[in-house]
Amino acid sequence: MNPYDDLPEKSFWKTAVAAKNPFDIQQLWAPKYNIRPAHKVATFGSCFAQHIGRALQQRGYSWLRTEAPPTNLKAKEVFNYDVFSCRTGNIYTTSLLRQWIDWTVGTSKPPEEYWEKDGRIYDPFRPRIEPNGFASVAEMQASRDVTLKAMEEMITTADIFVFTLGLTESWFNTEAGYEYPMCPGTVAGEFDKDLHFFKNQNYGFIRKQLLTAIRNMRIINPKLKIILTVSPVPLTATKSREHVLVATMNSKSILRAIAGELSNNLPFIDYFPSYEIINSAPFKGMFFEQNQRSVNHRGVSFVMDSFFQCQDDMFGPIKRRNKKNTDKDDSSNIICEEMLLEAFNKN
Amino acid sequence: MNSICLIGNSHIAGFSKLLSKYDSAGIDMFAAGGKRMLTIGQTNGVLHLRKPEQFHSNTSNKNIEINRYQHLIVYGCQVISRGSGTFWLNNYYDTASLRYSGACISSLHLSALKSSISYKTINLIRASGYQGKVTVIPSPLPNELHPEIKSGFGEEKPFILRSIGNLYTQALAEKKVNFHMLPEELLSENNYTTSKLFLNKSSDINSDFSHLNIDGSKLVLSSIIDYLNSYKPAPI
Repeated sequence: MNPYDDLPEKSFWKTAVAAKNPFDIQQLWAPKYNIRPAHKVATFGSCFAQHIGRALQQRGYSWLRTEAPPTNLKAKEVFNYDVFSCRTGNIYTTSLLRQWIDWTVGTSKPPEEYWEKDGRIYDPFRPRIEPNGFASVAEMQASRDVTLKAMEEMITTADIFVFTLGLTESWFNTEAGYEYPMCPGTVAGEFDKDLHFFKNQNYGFIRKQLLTAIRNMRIINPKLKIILTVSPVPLTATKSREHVLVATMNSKSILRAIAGELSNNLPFIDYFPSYEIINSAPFKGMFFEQNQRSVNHRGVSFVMDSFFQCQDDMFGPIKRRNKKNTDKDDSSNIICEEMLLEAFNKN
Repeated sequence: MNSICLIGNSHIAGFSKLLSKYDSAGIDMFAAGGKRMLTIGQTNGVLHLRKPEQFHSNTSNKNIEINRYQHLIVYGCQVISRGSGTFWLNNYYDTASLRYSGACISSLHLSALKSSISYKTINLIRASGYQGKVTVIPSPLPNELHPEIKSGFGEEKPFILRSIGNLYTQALAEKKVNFHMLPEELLSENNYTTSKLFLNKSSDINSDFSHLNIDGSKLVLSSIIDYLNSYKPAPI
């Protein structure tokens, strides 16, 4: 006898992976908690997090939305409503998440900085939240205040907080130390090498930011459970000196390691392996679009089917609404500000 | 055959009695209540009433041969469309007045306009290849509010009729359609709804805040005739 003798089929590559059609690979996730349709699930993070919120809605789950669009607004996604649980836009890094949580709980205040372009005002912390900017600084600040109130309600009422870790590369303000979701000068604003600095965040920094954000949320809502995922979407561009492919693998590896460590050690944090499902070799890149970056609808569908199947396998099947085939499955609807960086590729 | 055709919904009702007294206006009228306006179809330049029995007209025509008119006026027809239980601008002006950006509200207005019966009627007219003048006149006003919303809408809040009017004017101009607002005399003192003086008193004000009484109809029809007189069409 040795410790491998009693292991289940899923523990061996040959039987769990190599011998199977990729679509038959199962039991990729052993969820820690049973997510029922009545649970209020909030979703935030990088672009890929948007798929999770949509999949939950389509299957009749209580996706938590605390910042609602005006009724009958047809262009709600253009204005970034119903993309995440609040109108934060993409939160690519754990330090940005911490910054939002700090502003929400009052540990710090949002800076007064604003960006101006063609007579319109842009929020440096949600640069694409309004497609053509705001009419005034006051309107921008009022809109952000609404989002912060919605964040507060989200923290107070959510049962589960899903966060997709996206990037390690980030941009900060040199003088005040706050972080921008996009490098100034890309969407709007002006880049100033003396005022803005690049930081490729390391393991310890990211881990600390994430734990602080989670702790601050759980001080308000001690029952809040966390599900972490890592975005499988590669970087559009890297400011590091590495090749973008190497930089991508470096970033994702760090994020994956942190998510795994926290999930392994803290009972209220779980990790769902959407990153592995999309990115690992047995799936042969079939879930990517031709640009080998965007995740196609088959990938999204397979990931989310796996999510619910693993829940059923662990806790028994439940009656849930069949997924509706809507245009929301279309990956082209995903809002990813980082993709704008491609516009600066002069090659 | 007159040179002007008025196509509208129940808000035209007050005019139907008045039109005969304004013979000089030379207006043919076709009207149907609520969504029955949507039963108009278009074939070969003729708007046909799929259910003519549901339409009221001061002519005996079963179709609207629009090419024979110099001017088409689409009146009423839910410039803001009716939603599921919610209506008009209720959700735009909740007590947290800066909850939405101006651009978002503008987008909301435009999508409401483009789902309105007026706009659908305009699309039919444009699909027919009609070359004459087309005008849309709203009723109720785009900024009409339910009483419960009015109570939360303080006097200090910005009056937005003008900006909505500009928005509609611009959007309809893209369809080569004029947008003509109702007369200001029709408005209440606080300028954001139709004055009770001109409302149909037999209506329940809480549920019908905009159908006009005879005085209101006279006021509006005079405004329309003034508007028509200011426009001198070339003979067909």
